Amino acid sequence: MPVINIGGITDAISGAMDELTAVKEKAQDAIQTGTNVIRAGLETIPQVLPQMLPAAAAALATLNYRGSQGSFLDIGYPITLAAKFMQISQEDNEHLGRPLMQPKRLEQLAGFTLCKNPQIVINGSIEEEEAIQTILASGFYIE
Amino acid sequence: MLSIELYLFNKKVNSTAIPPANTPHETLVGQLVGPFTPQSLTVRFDLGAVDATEPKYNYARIGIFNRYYFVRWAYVDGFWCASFAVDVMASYRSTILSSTQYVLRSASQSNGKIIDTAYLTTGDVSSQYSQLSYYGFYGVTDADGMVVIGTISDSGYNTGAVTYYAMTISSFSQLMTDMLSSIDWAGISASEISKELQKALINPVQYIVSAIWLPVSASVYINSSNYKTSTVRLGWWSFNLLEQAAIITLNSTKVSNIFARIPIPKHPQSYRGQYLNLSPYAQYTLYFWPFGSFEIDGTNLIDDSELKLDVVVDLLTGMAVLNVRNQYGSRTSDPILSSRANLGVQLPTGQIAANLSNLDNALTMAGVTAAAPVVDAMLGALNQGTGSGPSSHSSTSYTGHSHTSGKF
Repeated sequence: MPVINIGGITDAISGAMDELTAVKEKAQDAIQTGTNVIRAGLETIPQVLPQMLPAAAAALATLNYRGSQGSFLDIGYPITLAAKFMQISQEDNEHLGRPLMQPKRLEQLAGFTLCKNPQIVINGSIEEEEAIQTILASGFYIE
Repeated sequence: MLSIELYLFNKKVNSTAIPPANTPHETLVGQLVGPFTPQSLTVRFDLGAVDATEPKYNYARIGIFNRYYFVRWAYVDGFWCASFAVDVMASYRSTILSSTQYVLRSASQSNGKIIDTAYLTTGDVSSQYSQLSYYGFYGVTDADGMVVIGTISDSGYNTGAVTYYAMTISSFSQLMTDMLSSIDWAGISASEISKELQKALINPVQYIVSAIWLPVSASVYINSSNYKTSTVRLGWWSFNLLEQAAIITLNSTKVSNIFARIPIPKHPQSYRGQYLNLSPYAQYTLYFWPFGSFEIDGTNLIDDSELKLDVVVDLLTGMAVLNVRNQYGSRTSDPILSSRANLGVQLPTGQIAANLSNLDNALTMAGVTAAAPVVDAMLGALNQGTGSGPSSHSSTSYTGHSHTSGKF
């Protein structure tokens, strides 16, 4: 709820009824003293106004707002980078290796190796050459 | 007759391994049996006394054929005969190792960014968080920070019709107290207008057109400003401040840049490959209020260990832009994501409005039926510029209502 902060008028608000009665009497006096009501009113403003306006203004005072209520709600939350990870099955690097996907001189590698479409030329029989290519394509161990 | 080196050597069938140079071996001479090829042959050995125990040798090298062989034994007609099957991987080892092949998988080298389809997900899910406290990012708490107010005045540093002051919370609180605890600052004699009437007529708060709280260090901004002041102009009046404030002009810095880094959680199995930090193995969500929550593609994070968070705040309006970048991204590089939100907290201000045009109704209902002409006269006098009353007495901002009880 907005807080009404009207300073010294707060006191005037609490005594509004009493002051309205006084205003009534003062106004009636002002009217009775002169035939020209407006002139009488103008002349009595310095006397009437100080008593009338506090009560009247207080009686009719409203509070106008600018701005909307801000929020400190976001300040309570830390900045968070949250991550969720899905686990994968146990690894067997010795017998299955890991993806490499590039041309390699085989002497630079060790252990299990799997090749794609291997090509090799040996000083041997065609059967031996085909056997080597079959083994390279099905997985072998460089030891 | 054939001279053969026999070894006891254990190896995988599809391995290029050969017996090391110092491997114990025995050289035997045997007799070739039947037809043979260099790749497959049978040799009979005369091992002396007949012994039904199989010879221990399982591997051999025949120098004349320059090949290695796997050995199997059979006892035939009182003699141990060995069958030799060529080991092509060992026999052509040097040729194989000197060749270049397209390698799909290797136990010794790998590209961690290639998804390994050999392994399936298990359905087990783990979570990790990296956090930055609000204070850790902005360097202020909700108990300090900076207040920026816009005032209507003749300060000479107006942005449009408004002068913007940046001050500490304590300065702002003291300013409000100074304005509303006493009316003496108006400099009007009580004999001319009573204190109570002054309070009803004059409200300096109406000259504050905006007030926002920002999570920005007031001391840092004010100390770096070229426009420092110890007073605030409000309307026709000046108020001294508890501490120095800074005036935000068109020529001064109107934005505040704040940035920090937040560590990026990594998949616990990412030693097996960075691909595990990608979708679908990893999902990242950044919660950064008031900007919101954001799903971040792991592709943007795979090479980084930290995420850079960059916030630019408009000090006049409180609007802010968040840019999230890679660890080494500069302010000119494309952000991973960008968002906009109102970071400033609006501080409400208010004014008292008295509806004098309905005053006659109020007085009438209170029994002062003849006061209406007096009120008209008062209005006429005021509207003719007899006083310098605040705008609340103009005709544009009235929201008055009448009542009969006089109680609130």
